[in-house]
Amino acid sequence: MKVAGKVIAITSGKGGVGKTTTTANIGTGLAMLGRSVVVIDADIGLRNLDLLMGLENRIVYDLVDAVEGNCKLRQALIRDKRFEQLQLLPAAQTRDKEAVSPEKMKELCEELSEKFDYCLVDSPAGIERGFKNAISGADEVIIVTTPDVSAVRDADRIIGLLEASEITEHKLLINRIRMDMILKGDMMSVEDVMDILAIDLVGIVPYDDTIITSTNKGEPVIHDFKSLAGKAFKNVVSRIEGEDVPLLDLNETGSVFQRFKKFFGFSSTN
Amino acid sequence: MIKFFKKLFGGNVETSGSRAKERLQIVLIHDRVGLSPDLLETLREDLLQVVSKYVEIDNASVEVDLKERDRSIALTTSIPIKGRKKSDSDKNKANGK
Repeated sequence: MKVAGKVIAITSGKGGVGKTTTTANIGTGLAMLGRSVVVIDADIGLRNLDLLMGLENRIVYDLVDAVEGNCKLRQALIRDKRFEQLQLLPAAQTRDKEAVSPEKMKELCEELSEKFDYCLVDSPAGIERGFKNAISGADEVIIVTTPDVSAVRDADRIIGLLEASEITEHKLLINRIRMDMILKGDMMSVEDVMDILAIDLVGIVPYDDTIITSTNKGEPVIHDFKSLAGKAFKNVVSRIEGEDVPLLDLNETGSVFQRFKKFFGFSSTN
Repeated sequence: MIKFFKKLFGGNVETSGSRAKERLQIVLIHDRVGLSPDLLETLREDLLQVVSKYVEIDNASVEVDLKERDRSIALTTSIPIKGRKKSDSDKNKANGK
């Protein structure tokens, strides 16, 4: 009998920090390692995970249909174009968060975790019903933030809510890191954010133009072997699988100091 | 890098990044316990009122702070005590009665 899969919710508090991008990339990355994965868009009314996966033209049934019994659960699942062990459960576009309750969501996650190694739930922004739905079935939560005052404040609030819940495993992912700005003191560093939020880190992802271009194409950036953000997501995936991977050296963009070091023969390994 | 050279040649470096961190640390402590700076001030006054019922305190040197470590928060206070509480008879003696 299959051991039940792990349900991981990806949330943030603040909108636009990269939850959906993170979900799409971690899901794809786990499938690349041979795991069976379902990515669930819990942002009812504002669906986006389908776009990031490039599956927007294949939606017939959605999460609300499945919960309301308008279809069988497997009819609402859409297979990924590239990996057959990766599937998407899209959100409804014409309903809202009230259409699903936390209890129903929990049942749904339980059912899916019997069939998949990993269920990744892409949470909407905020702390209301959508967020509560998204975490209700979760074993673990990844909190996504960016190194700015608003996102970190909202992440802190989310961490507070999670600490008051039954979920004990929650880790941080810091997205959109700009090493050039950090070196000048114009952006909070990874250490700064860790000092403030004081929870374990699951990974750091640099700001990278390739994320925008890959979203444009509907192909998660983890597919791009040359992308630094893609590499960062691969490391996150390895850590989720239990591997101890050192944090990515984000100085690959070649700051002045790096070029200075190279010139004098002190070149760093990448 | 630039921060490093500034530090090397002395001077207090306040970058916008460090400013962001400071602001967040302060605002988050207040967010987490639901105590705005105003409420903390009221708490401070009430606290000092209670303590001064028992001992004479040096109001000017009192410190009342919220301190944070690893997400747990403590209300820390330092209340210098000048001496025992002056009773009414002590006060009368002092006034030459």
